Amino acid sequence: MTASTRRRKAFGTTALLLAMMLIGGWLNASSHALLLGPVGVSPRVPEADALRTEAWGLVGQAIPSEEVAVLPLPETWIPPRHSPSPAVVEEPSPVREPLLVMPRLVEPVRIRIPSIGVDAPIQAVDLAPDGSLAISDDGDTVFWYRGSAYPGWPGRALLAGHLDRVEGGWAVFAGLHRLQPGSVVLLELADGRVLHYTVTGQARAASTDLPAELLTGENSSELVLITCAGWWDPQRHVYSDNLLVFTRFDGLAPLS
Amino acid sequence: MRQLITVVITLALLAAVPFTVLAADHAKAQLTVVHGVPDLVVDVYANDAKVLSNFTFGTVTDPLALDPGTYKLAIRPAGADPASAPVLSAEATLAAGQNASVVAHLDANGQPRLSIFVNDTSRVASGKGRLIVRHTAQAPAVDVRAGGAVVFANLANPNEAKADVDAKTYSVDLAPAGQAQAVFGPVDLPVAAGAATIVYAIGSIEQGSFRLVTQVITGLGAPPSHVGTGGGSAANATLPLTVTVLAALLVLAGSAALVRVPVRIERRNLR
Repeated sequence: MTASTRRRKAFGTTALLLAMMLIGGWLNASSHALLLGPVGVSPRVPEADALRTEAWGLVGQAIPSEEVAVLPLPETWIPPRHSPSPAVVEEPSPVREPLLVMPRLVEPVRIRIPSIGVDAPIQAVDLAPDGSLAISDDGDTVFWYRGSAYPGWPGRALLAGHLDRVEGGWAVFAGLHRLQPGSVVLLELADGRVLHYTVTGQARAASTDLPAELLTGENSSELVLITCAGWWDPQRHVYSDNLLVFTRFDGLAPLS
Repeated sequence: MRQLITVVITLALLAAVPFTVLAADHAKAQLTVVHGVPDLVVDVYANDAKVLSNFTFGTVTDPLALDPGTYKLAIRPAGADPASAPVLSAEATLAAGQNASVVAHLDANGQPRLSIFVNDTSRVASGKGRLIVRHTAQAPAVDVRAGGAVVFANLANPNEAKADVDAKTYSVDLAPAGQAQAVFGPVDLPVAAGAATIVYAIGSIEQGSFRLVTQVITGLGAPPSHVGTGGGSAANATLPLTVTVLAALLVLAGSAALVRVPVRIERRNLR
């Protein structure tokens, strides 16, 4: 191979690569990229103990911190206990005065992500008979999966939003790919409390092969935001991928 | 050719983003502590370290995240010398990822004891909730009834009964096994979808301290097989003209160089 041949081949390859990057970059910018766009996967941000304490306090009622002892074991963390009850249901009875004590399960009603201009109502949904998430075509609503964790409780709460609309145009979660580690997500519960989350990273999965671990994160309270990504299959009417954004729970947002 | 292979490998690596963020933290076990002994305020110790102070009747803790292993659990009256003999003690062995509850409660004869239950955190079907009832009270065996029908028959201290039921609020009462007359209830008991609702009967029927306390574990629904969050309209959007033209030019130039199209300009004719 002569020097000129080598130069020519190098030039050709570079030019083709540039062309692919150009197209890929544009697709990435318009949010449904897959081909070339590296997805920003960041390592888990180590949870701050103080924040987590508050996170778990949500499950029940907060108690004075001096009452919380800590096991002197490495990496062992003891959350605060909740006192007899956030919600006490008492009903009269002819037999005996009954008493039932239950923690309160409060559903999320609204999500706000200031950095990408999201401010949308949340609708609770279950699974469809085929096992998929039973969401409507509504591009303005975010859907919370009732079988995922309740926000503020241990585990992962799953929130899905559309990337684009059947009728044309971007939908509520079109800007999800722009979320960076540190971006803020606010979740409002039905009782008016607002939970504060911080983005920790993104990941991508084939839409036909969502990871089984999607909802397991049992030792902390997290949100997983999910939307579509990749390439549109016009025959099956699905995107090739799902974009997943992970957050950690920081506690109750200060009242504004 | 080597460059082409490099390009292909690079692209493959970029596409195959590892799922590191998804790695679940299964290293810990979870332990919930329930106080079901009336009129006794206690401190709870695990491996000789105090983990709960002034723990009162009817309290259910949030789950404690613990490293797997065997724990010596001890319960002493609140403020008692940590070296003193415990009121109750037991050993609990927790496996990684296991979710368990330890209950200080009265047995059927009114004597305090510790019972350890492993919580069933297996997946529940869509729209269903798991109802678990644990008889940890000084009371005879009972029938647990919902809307008048017996759900769990002849449940005795210190046993549990469980079933996955439609998620809704049930009107629950308790009757001595086989009898019609309720001794407790009815109470409205909400069973949430995708969650386990664990009901503990605690206290003493005789002494009037009998009550129900609950522990809830959410997030037990199956992960969705598919999340169809695309309408498809964005995919039909066209590339901007500048991007298209630039890309086309680069493709042409690159291909020409690679395929080695002979282009010779006849200098003579230019004179």
